[in-house]
Amino acid sequence: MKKVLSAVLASTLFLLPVYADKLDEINQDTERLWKRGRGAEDGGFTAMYSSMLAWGIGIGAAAALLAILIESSESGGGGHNHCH
Amino acid sequence: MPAAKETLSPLVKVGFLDPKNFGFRASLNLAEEDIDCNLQEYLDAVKNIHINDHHNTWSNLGHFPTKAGPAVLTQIDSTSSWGGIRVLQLILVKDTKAYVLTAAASKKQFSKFLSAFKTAFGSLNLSDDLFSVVADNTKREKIKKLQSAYLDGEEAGWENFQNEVLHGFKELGAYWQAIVISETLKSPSNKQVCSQTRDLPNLVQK
Repeated sequence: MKKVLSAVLASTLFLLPVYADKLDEINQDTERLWKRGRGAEDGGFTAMYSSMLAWGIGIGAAAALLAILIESSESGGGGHNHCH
Repeated sequence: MPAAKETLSPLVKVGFLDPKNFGFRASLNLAEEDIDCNLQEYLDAVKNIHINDHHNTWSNLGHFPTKAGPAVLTQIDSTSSWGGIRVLQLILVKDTKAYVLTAAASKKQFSKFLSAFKTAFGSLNLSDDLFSVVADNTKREKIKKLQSAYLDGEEAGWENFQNEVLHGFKELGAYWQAIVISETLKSPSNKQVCSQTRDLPNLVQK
């Protein structure tokens, strides 16, 4: 039994590098397949979100402008009341 | 109007946004990817990516002629909170590179931009010599001389070359202008690279 176990362990030690190489190869293939098409994906993503980003910046600027207008109209209104 | 570089995804080289439109703004961008497969395998991968999103429908519209050779035109229809969006992707595979031109607009406005998109797709060209696309011989020789003068370290050479590229070749588009300038800066015979590269980011975004 001990001999059998030793033989199995020994053969595992010899086979491990072979499996490691194979695993590495599979990993590289998977990686390549996974990444393939990223140019089209990036192009689509940019097309969709650059438009939305531009909109977000626009809305932010409009909100800031509105806040400034409200602020200035409130301080202007206060001055008017004081005169009366 | 060129899109800010920070808004572009990693493989996108240049992008343009419609400056006037209200709502979803039409856009056009060019991406490049190093590949190790043929056109059909690349198309299969692209299809899988797009149909993974259940908001999308993808279709292959067939071959489309470009100045760089026949490419494949694909269409992605998508729904978003902005309404229906239509995206056209022109895919050209040459050697170990895939070139992807992506045009997008809202479905409502798509017909308005279609002619501009088709013109842009048809004009896709690959060239080792950037000046070969300049049809006018006199202009081509002039810009080559200005480039040589700059590369030889002539005083005001950079200013003259840059001004000529930016003002004399508007018809070739912002991307052509940007790559002519960046390739000149990268040229091995360039004696002034370090002092001039700082100007490039501003220039590309203008």
